[in-house]
Amino acid sequence: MAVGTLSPPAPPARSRRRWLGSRRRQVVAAAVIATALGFLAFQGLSNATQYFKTADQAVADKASLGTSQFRIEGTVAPGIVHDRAGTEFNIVANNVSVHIVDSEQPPQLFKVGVPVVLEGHWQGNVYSAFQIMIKHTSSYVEAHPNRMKSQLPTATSLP
Amino acid sequence: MTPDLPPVASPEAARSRGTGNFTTRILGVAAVATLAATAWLGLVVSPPDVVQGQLVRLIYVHPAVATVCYVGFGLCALASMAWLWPRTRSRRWDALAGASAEVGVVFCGLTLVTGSIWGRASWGVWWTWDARLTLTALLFAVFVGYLGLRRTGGSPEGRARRSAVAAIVCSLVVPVDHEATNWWRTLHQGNTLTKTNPSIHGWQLATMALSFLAFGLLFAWVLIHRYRLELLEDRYETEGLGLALEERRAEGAPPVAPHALTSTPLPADPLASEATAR
Repeated sequence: MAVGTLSPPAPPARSRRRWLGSRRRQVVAAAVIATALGFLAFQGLSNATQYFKTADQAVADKASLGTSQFRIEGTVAPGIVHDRAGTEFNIVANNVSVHIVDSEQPPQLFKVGVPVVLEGHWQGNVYSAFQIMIKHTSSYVEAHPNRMKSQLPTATSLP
Repeated sequence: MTPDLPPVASPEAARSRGTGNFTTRILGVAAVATLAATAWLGLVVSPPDVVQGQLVRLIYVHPAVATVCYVGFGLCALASMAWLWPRTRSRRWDALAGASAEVGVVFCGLTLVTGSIWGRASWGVWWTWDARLTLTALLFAVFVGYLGLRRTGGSPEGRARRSAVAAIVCSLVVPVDHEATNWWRTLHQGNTLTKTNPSIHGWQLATMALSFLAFGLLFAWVLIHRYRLELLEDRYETEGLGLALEERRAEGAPPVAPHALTSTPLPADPLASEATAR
């Protein structure tokens, strides 16, 4: 075999450029895939994390919800009734009220004006709940903000 | 299991092989002091909350622990990036990534436990599958998996590369978990301190801020010790191998009569010549 028939080897600079081009394509492909996966994950989580319906949404979707189990959210309205069967009260969200019949003992923070998330289903025009969860806000207010100041000696009490 | 360190010649050498020094001792004392101050402010000085009553005292533990867990996982991702970057590649970055992930997993576990206790008392349930809780559980699970990946076989280089890539992927859960209460409806409350106008004031705010400092110092203290322990394990493997080779050489060498030391040269050590050839 004649040596002159052999093709010359590719110059290193060109192969390096090709490698870089391939590398760039890989990065772009990975970025596209990651973006697509991120979008899908966000959409999936958005659907899966419809953790509760507000009381007005539950009333609006009542026909489609039927007697299937879902969570409902609202603020406890005045008029809580405790009896042997459980607890009856109303929750309000966006001026829509829903009557609740709960079969379990409510948590210790349960009271009028507290937002709650309930788990249960529609039973006619009443929401039958088997679990009450308190949804407290991120705001905190000291019950006795001046209690330490009151223990400090005042100017008149000093000798 | 952490292997025992090889025996050392002197107490000074033993001290130099430990994981503590003057700075870490100061850090440890500062962590204990601020934790004690947090406990005193949180349990004695800080008043109860209008809505949550005495349950509010858990806010001096749970958010700080959760934040430190995020920091641990974030640090793990940054160290992994530093390892992957050729110019900064060093075994120390891999060790830091492993150490921060381990400490982060511990604090993530504490986050889940303290959150569960707080949830049972305030919400009325130990656990619910809302976005924040689910993502925190996912975060814990993926970083436990990451720690498992770090224990897999193969070359140290390959293991470090796999771990670094996995750490970066796993850490993507952190910002999603943090923003879960803003992006989706959750039972978990929103963020209290990240607003421009924090919805907590007075002693409650002061105690909460101190709790962040206290758990941050604790995290730093534990992290430094764990990081140094990781490097000591490397050193143990290296020096342990050398010691084992020396012992094998000593076992393999034939007993030599005292007079032979002066008259006849020792035969060539096959292990030594093998090691030289390698």
